[in-house]
This record gives sequence, C-alpha cells and structure tokens, in this order.
Amino acid sequence: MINASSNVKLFLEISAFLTGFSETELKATGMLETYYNTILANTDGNDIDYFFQNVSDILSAPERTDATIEQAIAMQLIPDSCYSGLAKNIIALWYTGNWVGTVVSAASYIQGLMWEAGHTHPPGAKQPGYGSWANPPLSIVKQQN
Amino acid sequence: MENNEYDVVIVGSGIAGSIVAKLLTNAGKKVLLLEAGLQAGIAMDPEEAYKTYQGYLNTFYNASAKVPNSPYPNIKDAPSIDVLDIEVIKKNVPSTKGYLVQMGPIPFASDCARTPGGTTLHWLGTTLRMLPNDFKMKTTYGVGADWPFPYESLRPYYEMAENEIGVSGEVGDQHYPIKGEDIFGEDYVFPMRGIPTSYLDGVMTETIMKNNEVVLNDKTYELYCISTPQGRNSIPNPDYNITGVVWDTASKKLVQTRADGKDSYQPVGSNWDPYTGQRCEGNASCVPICPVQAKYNALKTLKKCDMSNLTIRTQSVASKLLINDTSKWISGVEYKTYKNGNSYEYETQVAKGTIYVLAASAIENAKLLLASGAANSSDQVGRNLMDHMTLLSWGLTKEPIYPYRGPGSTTNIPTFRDGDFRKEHAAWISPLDNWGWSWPVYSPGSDVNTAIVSGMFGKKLRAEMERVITRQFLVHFECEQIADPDNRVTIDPEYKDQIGNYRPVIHYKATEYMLKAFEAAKTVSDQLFKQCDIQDFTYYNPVTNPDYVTYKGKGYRFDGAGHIVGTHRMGANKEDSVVDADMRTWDHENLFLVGCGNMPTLGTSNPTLTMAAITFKAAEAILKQLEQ
Amino acid sequence: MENKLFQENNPKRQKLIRPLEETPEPAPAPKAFVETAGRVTAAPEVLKMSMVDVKNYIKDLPQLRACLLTALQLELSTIPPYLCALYTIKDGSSQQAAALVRSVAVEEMLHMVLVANILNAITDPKTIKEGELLFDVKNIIPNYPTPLPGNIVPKMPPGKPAFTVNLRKFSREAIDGFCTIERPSDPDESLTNPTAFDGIGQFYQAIRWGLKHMNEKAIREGNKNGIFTGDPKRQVTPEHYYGSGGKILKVENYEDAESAIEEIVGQGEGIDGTIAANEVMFGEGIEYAHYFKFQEIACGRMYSANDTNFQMPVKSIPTGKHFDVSWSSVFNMKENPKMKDYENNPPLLEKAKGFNRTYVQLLNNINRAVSGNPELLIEGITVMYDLKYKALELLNIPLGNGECAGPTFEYVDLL
Ligand SMILES: Cc1cc2nc3c(=O)[nH]c(=O)nc-3n(C[C@H](O)[C@H](O)[C@H](O)COP(=O)(O)OP(=O)(O)OC[C@H]3O[C@@H](n4cnc5c(N)ncnc54)[C@H](O)[C@@H]3O)c2cc1C
Ligand code: SF4
Repeated sequence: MINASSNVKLFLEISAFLTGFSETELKATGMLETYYNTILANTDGNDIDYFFQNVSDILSAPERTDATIEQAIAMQLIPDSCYSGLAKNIIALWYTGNWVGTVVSAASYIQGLMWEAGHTHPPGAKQPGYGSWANPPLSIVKQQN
Repeated sequence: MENNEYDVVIVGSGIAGSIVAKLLTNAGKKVLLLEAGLQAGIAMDPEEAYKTYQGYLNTFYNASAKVPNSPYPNIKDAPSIDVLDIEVIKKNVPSTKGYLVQMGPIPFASDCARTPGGTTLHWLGTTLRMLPNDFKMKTTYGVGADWPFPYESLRPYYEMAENEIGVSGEVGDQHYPIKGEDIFGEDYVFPMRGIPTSYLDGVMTETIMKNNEVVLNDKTYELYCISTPQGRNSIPNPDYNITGVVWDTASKKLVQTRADGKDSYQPVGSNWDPYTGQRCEGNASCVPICPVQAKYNALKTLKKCDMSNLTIRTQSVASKLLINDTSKWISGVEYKTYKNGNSYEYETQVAKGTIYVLAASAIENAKLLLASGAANSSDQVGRNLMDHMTLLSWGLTKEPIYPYRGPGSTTNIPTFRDGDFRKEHAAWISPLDNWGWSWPVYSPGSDVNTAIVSGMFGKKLRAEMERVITRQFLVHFECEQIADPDNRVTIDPEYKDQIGNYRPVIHYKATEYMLKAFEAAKTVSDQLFKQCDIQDFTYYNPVTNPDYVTYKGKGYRFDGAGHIVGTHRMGANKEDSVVDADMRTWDHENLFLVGCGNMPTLGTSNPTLTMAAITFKAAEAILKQLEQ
Repeated sequence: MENKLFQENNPKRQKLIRPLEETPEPAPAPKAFVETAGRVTAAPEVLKMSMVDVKNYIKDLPQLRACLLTALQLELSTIPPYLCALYTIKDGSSQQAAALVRSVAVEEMLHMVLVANILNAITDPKTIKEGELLFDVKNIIPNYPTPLPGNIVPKMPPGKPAFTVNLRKFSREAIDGFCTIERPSDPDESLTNPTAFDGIGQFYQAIRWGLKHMNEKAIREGNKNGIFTGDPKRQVTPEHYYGSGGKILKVENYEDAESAIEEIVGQGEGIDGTIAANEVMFGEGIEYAHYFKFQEIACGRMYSANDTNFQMPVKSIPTGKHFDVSWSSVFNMKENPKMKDYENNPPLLEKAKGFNRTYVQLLNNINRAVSGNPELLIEGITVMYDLKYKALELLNIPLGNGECAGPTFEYVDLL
C-alpha cells in the first residue's frame, strides 16, 4: 500500500480536481490535514485504500491532460456506487466544512470554499469591514492604481 | 404597604427589563433582577464577558443548523422556544417537541432566547417606528384595536429608545405611504449616520424603479425603496446632541439630557472592549450573533445600571406571582433557582419588592400571569398573540448582486405599510434581504449539495456556485397580524417543564384578513419579479412546510418574524385590556408589565423600538408611583 | 452618552508630553535601566543629540516638511512588524496579547493620519499640483530589516548590532524589538556627540520645535496664519477613524498641531517618559502608551492601578492580573520573508504578490485619503481586513523546512 504522506499528497491533488480550487488555494485554508484525517476516520479502510489506488492511477496515467483526468474522475470516482460516495463527500467537506451534514470544527465552517466561490465570507467570520457591502466584493473589483 | 428590601423586582433581563433596571437604579431605586438564564451570560467584567461570548460564537460556528438560538445554551430547567422544534401539526395531535405545546391548527412560528440579555442577542436590529395609523386601527380601518394614546405622544419616548439602542439611519430617507404627517419632528437626526445600504440594494432599487407600478385589486401602487434605520454602530452624526435620559424628581418626568456642543454621540462598543464593535464590520451574522457586538443587545443597557443599586439573581426562574387576597396587591414573586441548567435540582424562594415588573417576553409574561391567576379580569391575558406572518419570495437575478454581505437588511419597500386596503387585508413591509436564500432554503449549503448530487465537480462546480450564490435575491412580505382572541397562550397542568413550571400551550391560526394579505402580497411579488426579470424559485411545500395555508385554492407558506406581540394588551379601559396606558395592570396596582405583549397592534415595523419607547414610559410611571 | 475614553481631555489619559521648556538643561539623574521580566540590562552608552540640537534641528520649512514625511514613513514602517506579530498568533491563543498588539497597530494608522493632517495643514494648496499625492507609495515602503527612518538610533545593549526593524512572528524577540521602537527617551542621559535621535519621541520633539519656530517666523513676517495655510478640506476628520484609543484631530493652527503630536507621542512612544505620579494610570478603560502595552506582553501581566509611579528610567514591572501568553501557539513564519524566497513555488509567489497588491492598494487608498479624499479612509479599512485574510492564507502554507510562508510587505505594481 501507499504510505501516509504520499496519500496526503494524493488527497490534495485530487481535491484540487474535485473542487476546482488550486492546490495552493486549498493549502491556504489550513484544513488539509484535518480533512485528510476526517476522511480516514470516517471511511471504511478498504474503501480508502482502493480509493487512493484509483486516484493514484488516474493522476499518473500516461499522456494525461486535465480533460482526461476529469473524465476519469467522472467515471471512476463520482458515481455513488464508487467508494461509498467518498468523492462527493470530499467535495462537500471542502465546500461546506461539513462531513455528511455535521460541522467538523469551527475552523472548517470558517474555511468552507462555498463562501469564496460566491465572492463572500462565512457569516460571523472573516468580516470585511465597515461599509464593504456597499461595493462589489474586493475579489471581483479590479485593483486600481 | 409591606416593608421590602427592594423597591422593585424585575423578572427578565432582556431589553425591556434592562431599560427599567437602568432607569430605576440610576434614579437611586433598589432593584432585584431575576433572570432565568445561566449565570455566565450576565458577566459584566470584561474578561468573563468576553469568555462567555466567545463560547457563544464557537457554539454557533459548530452548529449544523445556524438558527437564531444556535449560539445560546438551551437549558432544560428554563427551555427556550426554538424554531427547530416547529413541525407540521397533525390533526388533533398537539406538537410537544419543544418548550411550546403547539395545539395548532398551525404552529406559532417564532422563537426567543431565554438567556441573560434576552432575544436582542439574536435580533436583527431593525428599528423602524410605527406609523400614526397603526395606533388607531379600529377608528381608521375598523379592524384590530386602538392604542390608549396617539403616535404623537410617543415621540419623545421614541427618541429615548433611539438613543438607548443607538440607531443608525437617515431621517431624510424616511418616506412612508402617509400624507402630511411629520413623523420625526423638525431637525431630528438619528444618533448615527445611516448604515451604508448594500450593493444589492443599489442594483435592485435601480431595477425596481425602472418599472415600479404594480396593480392590486384594480388599484395602482408605486413601489419604492428606502434605507432602513437599525440598531448597529455606524458613523456618529455630528448634529445629534441627545446624551441620555434622567429622572427629574421635581417634575416627576423623564427628561432627555443634551450636549451643548456637537459631536456628542459615541457608539457603544462591545461589553468586553469599548473599541471593539465601534462600527458594524459586516460579519453578516447579526442573527444569530454579532461577533463584535456592533449590533445593540440588552447587556449594553444592563451594563449602564448603577450596580450599587442592582442585585441580579440568575438561574432564577419566576414561576408564580403571590397575590394579597384583600388588597389584590402582589406580595411576592415565587421563583425557582436551579443548580445547573439540566438538573432537576432547584430551590424555591420568594422575592419581595414594592413594585413588580414582568419583563419575561410576551409568551412567558402571559404564562406567568395565567399560572398565578393574575391580572385577568378582562379575560385578555394570553389572547391576541401576534407576529409578522412573513411570506418569502426568492429568485435569481440576471446579473450578480453579490448577496451574503453586510447586515441582514438595509433597505425596504414601504409601499404597503399603510393604506385603505387595511380595511380588507393586512399591511406589510418588504425588506430586501442581504443574505441570499439562506432563510427559506439554507443556501448556500443546500445549493452545494444539489450541485454535487447532480454529479458536478471541479471548475464547473465552482463556476456554478459562483453563478448561483452571487445572484440570489430574497424579499420578505412581513404581514401585520391583526389581533384575534383565539390566537392565544394558555396553560394546562398536563404540560410542565422539568422543574415543574408550566409550558405555554399555543393555539394559532391565520385568519382570513391574513390569508387575503398573502394573496395580495403574492400578486405584488409576482409583478415585482416579472418587472425586474428575476427568475422565480419560490416554492411552498404543502407537505413539509409547517405553516402552509391555503386560500381560494392556492397555497402559501409563511414564516415567523420573531415578533411575539399582544398577549397582555394595553387599552383605555379595563374591560378589554390587561394594562393601562402606563402599563400598570388594571387589577394589581403594584404590578407592571413590559415588553411587546403590551402592544394592541403590531403595525408594519419590527416591534422592539416601539416596545422600548413604551418601556421608558412605563419606567416613568413606576418612578412616579414609587415617589408618591 | 459621554464616553470618557474618547475625550481628548480625559484626565486619565496619560500625558507624556510637557510644555516646551526654554531651558533645556536637565538635572543629573540616576543611570538608565531597562527592566523586563526579571532581567535588568544596564543601559549602554550611545552618542545622542543634545537637547539644544533637537531644538534647532529644523532650520527651514522644506526641512520641516521633509521631517513630517519621514515621520509618516516612520509610522508606516512600524505597522508591518506589528501586523506580522498579530497575524502569527494562532486563533484563540494569547488573546490578551493579540488585543494589545492589534490596538497598537490600529493606533499607528491613526498616527500616520495625524502626521498627514499636520503636513496638509502647513501645505499651501496653491503649491499642490492637480492630482498630486501626499507621498510616494513605492518609495515609502521599507525593505526589512530596516533601521528606523529619520536618523533615529535607539540605544542597544553593548556588543549588540545596531537596531533594525524586522518582520517576525510573535516571539520574545519581536516584542523586545517593539519595546525598543516605542521606548520613551531618557532626557536625563548625559549627552555628547549630536549625531542621532535616541528615540521616536525626540524626533517628534524636534518637529514640534520646528513647527513652533517656523510658525513664529512666518507670523513675524506678516502672515497672520503663520505656516498654517493648508486647505481644510484635505484634513481627515474624527468620524473616519475608530477601533482603538485616540482620536483624529483636525489641524488648522499651531495649537492643533501640538495636540496632534501630543496624541502621537502620548499614545506611543513618550518624549520623556514621565507619567504624573499619584494619578491612577492603569486599569480598565484607561489608555496607556504602546511601550507599556509591550511591557505587559513581555511580562504576561497587566499593569494594575497601583503601578503609578513611572519615571524614566522605567523601573517598575507590571504587578496586575496575569494573563496567558503562549510563545508556541504561533505560526512559525520565516523572518523577513521576501517574494524572491518563493520564486521556486509559482502559486505561492502569486499568493504573496496578491497580498502585496492588497498592501499597495491599502497604501494608495490612505494616500488618496490624505490627499483630499478623506472619505476614502473608510474604504481603506475594508482593504485592511482583506490584508489579514490574505496573510493568514500565506501563513497556512508550509515551506517544507518547518517554517511557513508569510506576508512580505513589498511593493508590487498593480495590474
Ligand atoms: C430572529 C429574530 C429577529 C428579530 N429581529 C428584530 C428586529 O430586527 N427588530 C425588532 O424590533 N425586533 C426584532 N426581534 C424581536 C426582538 O428580539 C424582541 O422583540 C425583543 O428582544 C424582546 O425583548 P424583551 O426584553 O421583551 O424579551 P426578551 O429579550 O425575550 O427577554 C426576556 C428575558 O426574560 C428572561 N425570562 C424568561 N422567562 C423568565 C422567567 N420565568 N423568570 C425569569 N426570567 C425569565 C429571559 O431569559 C430573557 O432574558 C427579533 C426576534 C427574533 C427571534
Ligand atoms: S453585519 Fe456583522 S458586524 Fe454588523 S451587526 Fe451584523 S453581525 Fe454585527
């Protein structure tokens, strides 16, 4: 079997493909390890092993392109029948901070990617400051001189 | 009169109880405050206050359903009404899931927080005044009831309330669908400048104004948008010079104090650090918790009490008023002090004062009176339970409007706040909501799940989330519920909580006056969405929505607005009301009731500002009575 | 409601500034000590400027203006180090320390604005070209580690290298550095070679003399407003600032300028470190200088109401309530990070650039605000929040050697 640290790496790489956020963006949430541990703790060991094997195959396939990888993900990871729906749970985990409907931690709630995707911030955290809401979000405003 | 340790015993530390406590202690009166919630919540020293509040915040972060009560402890010995307990009521089977026993036919849909500081911890903070006609509904429109005084006589008290809460707003923006009446008086300004309206407000106002005529029952109305005054910190208005309120022993009146110079208002920051919360920072979580306390909550008022005159007993749940058989005066409040929130252990004690004030919020006040056989010679205690029955409409705009930012609502459409139609159906106000579809369908989490289930992932998923989340528009139609004696709070020995206190038993329905309003509001909503090119996603589910009602073959879902009102109404005579214009019970000379339960009508404004105003009036009457 | 905390005439407010004295000869005094938690360091000998030279340091108006621009740079150069310390404290730990550092950082922003107000107050609008900005963002950003601008050379213990300002994680070393930045001057120290200011307070003292002399001269020459001929519309006013102690003051004459300097020096660094005795100085709701805030962090202990007797040299350590300071629950940020450190990691470099763009945007914003658009300061504060979130993203990215990335606070061109 593959060792733990390379699994974390695989988890990061596949998470980027699953979520549409770059590896750096995912790292910047500070949640990588927590999420990796969350899936380990809550997924059947067999499923996990086969899942990472499959991920490793997809990511290291010869002549792979983003398109071929995405296609493989759609066929081999996304269907509910694959690894007890693990891929979908991973996406939800990154986007909402919830593992199957339960909040993992205060930090996971705050780091949910759905807020970033929607050009906003989680209610009650990362507040943007007085009056910010009167203008379009900073993330879409061209930074001017 | 008995010789009592305290001048006044107050039950409840919400905004109503805190205002009374502040005014009385600062006028030198000895006050005992009984509060049902946990000790930690009352902490006034900065370190403890910070710790408790961070605890709330952390609980909120970790809550799966981020409903109004989610940050606050829900304890078994003093349970809170909670929206999570609302469920579809089966025919003839009461819903007993939560603290309320809901007899139906439909459930009462609002909650409140039983914790030190009360429900303002999770209120939104909208602070509109009521309109003059709201005070004379019976005379003007033949429905509801009249207040025992007109709008005009409340104006100074409104100013006191606006000072206490710290209202941010622009008087100049306040155009209402009424003629010739001067609501604010010359030169009046709010303590702070208006909270900036949201980007969404700007886009939507422009869109609405392009084509703003709607037709309702063959009459044409013009929709328009105005900024909403609110109780959260903004830039102080240099022209504001009111500095507070003092009791004037000579004139036996509350008088406002004023600064000579300008620049007098200082926003009140958090309870742990005066520099935190000096401005609303756009946390966008006012309901259920403002992390920086830029939003007003009652603990800020409580902190301004003269502590040398105030005794607070927490974890002390009032259960009964003791009545002197001959004089009919209240001779004590029996209360149960529990050990920790969930044990069955408690001690029963009696608190005594010269005057008693119930400030436990509308449902609890009524329940306490019923449990004590008090103040009910009119048979109105517990009746006339009201709320804003809120129809929600949601859809997607053409262009992004970037919701989920800023305070919950910063703009409203006041067109239907007043008019002749009130003879036929309820009036309403339409706040534009800044928080997307989070209220009706738990967006954006639910949108993520829908997209994932459909098999979306990666860049496509991210783009889809961007498309959906940035264009979610939600507008409320908060319909003024009119008093109905059968919408009521009762008690039943069969239903008690775990320390033997009565649970409120609720009977609730939507009268035809309300159903007609839903029909009308939906008509307006349909036109609004069409004219603004909003793709309508509004969906009322006949099976799963607990407050699903039908009218003329069409179904509607309404939600509660958190505005619990009317259960011990004020009036001009004792036959049809519980308290007089000073909020003294007709039946017991030394018993005052404060809170929204006093309000005979609700109008189309959120009730707390008006309630705070009349609470100042009640405090004035209490002081006067004490000094007789 | 009157809130004492914000009143400029709050009697509890510490007054570190004394009236300008015409006879600057100090009485001989005990040797200076710097005393931090249990560790006493004999103050080293350093060549300092004499009081007379401080008084006559500024010779003409252009030099005065140049000094004020330097003061602006000085205030600005201290903000990134404070922010680094603040950002690297992990959420939930060292809360008291974080609150103290935060309040200092916010107050440095206030000082920048106050300096700008003074500068604008003595700048004749006729001399300003259309669209001209008060300062040059690109050149005002320092390259860390950097000496303090303005020829300010704080004393260092013997054998230690000259003082520099650094971008460091929250650590004892960082707090020591902050104490040095904010350390009150010791006017009683005997002076020899007039080569440098020994502290920020002394530098402002020179500015104060300069303002006074230039103003008196201008009045003598028949300008009834003296040097205060600026455009009032370029003044940033109180409503634009919040979030910590102090207050923005409009500057329209010499007295205003003096109050503004009092605000800056009193709040932070101290001209002579004297706090009036027999006055309650510490406790809830009382503002005190940055130096003392950092002393509290170094000691993990608040000053108490009894800690009143402060004379320079500072001998007394805080004796109030203890609070937890965790030096380990901290992001292990690389010291003085640079964009070029990230060159082998393009996505990280892009993130660091993103941070710097936000930083430059913030400075541009402040610059425009103090160049005639005061209302823009409110928007600037929004950018300030964003800065924090961008910094935290960098801190979450490990560098692989046990350290993590961090914000570099360097100039980048905006897109
Ligand atoms: C989600 C939500 C949003 C809202 N938004 C707005 C808004 O924008 N604008 C507006 O005007 N209003 C709003 N409201 C309504 C507003 O919060 C209430 O009107 C207001 O807080 C009521 O104040 P109160 O002091 O009467 O009662 P509460 O604040 O409910 O306080 C009652 C106090 O009494 C204590 N208590 C209860 N029972 C006992 C007992 N038996 N013994 C001892 N103590 C007891 C409780 O613990 C509590 O401290 C909102 C409400 C909700 C739920
Ligand atoms: S928007 Fe944020 S800061 Fe403002 S009141 Fe609401 S929660 Fe508080």
